[in-house]
Amino acid sequence: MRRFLLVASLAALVSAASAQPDSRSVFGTRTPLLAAGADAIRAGRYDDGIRLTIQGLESEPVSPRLKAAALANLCAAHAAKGEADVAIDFCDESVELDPRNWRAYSNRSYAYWQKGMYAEATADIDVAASLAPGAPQIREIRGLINEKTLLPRVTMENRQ
Amino acid sequence: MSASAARRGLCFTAAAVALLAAATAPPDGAAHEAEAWPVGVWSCLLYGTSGDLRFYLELAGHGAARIARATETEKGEWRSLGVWRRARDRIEFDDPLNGRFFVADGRRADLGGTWLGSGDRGGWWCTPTAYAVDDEPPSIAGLLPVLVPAVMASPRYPLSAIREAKEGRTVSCFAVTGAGEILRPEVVETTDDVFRGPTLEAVAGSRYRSWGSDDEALPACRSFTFELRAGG
Repeated sequence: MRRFLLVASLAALVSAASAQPDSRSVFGTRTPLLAAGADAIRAGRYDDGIRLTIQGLESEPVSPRLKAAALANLCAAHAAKGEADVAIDFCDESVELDPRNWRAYSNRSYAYWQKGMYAEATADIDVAASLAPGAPQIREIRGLINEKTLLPRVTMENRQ
Repeated sequence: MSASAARRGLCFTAAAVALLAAATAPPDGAAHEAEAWPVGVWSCLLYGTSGDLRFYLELAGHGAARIARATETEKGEWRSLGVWRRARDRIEFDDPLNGRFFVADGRRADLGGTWLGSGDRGGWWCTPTAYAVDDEPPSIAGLLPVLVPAVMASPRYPLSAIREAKEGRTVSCFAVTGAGEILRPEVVETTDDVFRGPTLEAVAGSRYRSWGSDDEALPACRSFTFELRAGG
């Protein structure tokens, strides 16, 4: 089950990393490295994705919003690799540039979850949910948080 | 109120119930068939917020329904409930005296379901007895056994429900043999189907202390409340 959840959560992150159903529509033809980086992260090739995204940020013309999206992708890739601290730094930077980028909150929530910082993870996923209420990634990460933070109890009563 | 006025009141109630039954019975008039399920004498349990009650229920082939709680049983009497009726997949009857409307799912092997009163509601479950319709009520001894759980298995809280922060409640009813075995457990109420499987698994893993002979069975129910609290 744990393995299933991990796979499910990574799938959510990869989906988040892709930024949009077609990442090229976000990064455009003028930012081919960023687009290729997003595609690589979505395909699970995190190291390639990180390298291409960093190259794109260094060499391609990006608006603050695009830069925020690229940083959120770096956050997702590092979180998927289990490098939560690095991921959080990238997400912090992304949120600072674009406070309405729900993927940065969602990715940072997952990174906090990895570190066992459930209050921070909950706060971030709440913000993400307020920005994108229907996003399945958010439901997935909230499920992971609930699993760690909610204590189940069943009370039984005999009727006779 | 004088005795004659009370009788008139009862007659009026019975007439009203009969009219209601006529209005709700299937048009083919085949609402009741002698000897067909659920015709017979049943040992029943009623549960609700105001408490639990054991009683006998007689459903006759001609449509009459009668009840005997401990007080009536001790006197060897039945109290009339009017008529029972079959409506699609349901069995229905009223208890005008207590203002309760009983509904049973006609697709179940056992007889039982839910009841609705004024400001109260709950469930009921019955096991068949060997007694014949039109006899006196069975012995009061059959209403008195206390079922003592020997093993109460706890249901697992479904992981999917935890992840979705779902809480809920279920009630399962079943027959308990004289040896304490649980037979034919059913989920009578559930707030969410996700709790149905764990409820039935828990009931199947439970048993009671033996209380009588092997050929007897008593109805019993168990409610389960699934709750989550913050704690991690």
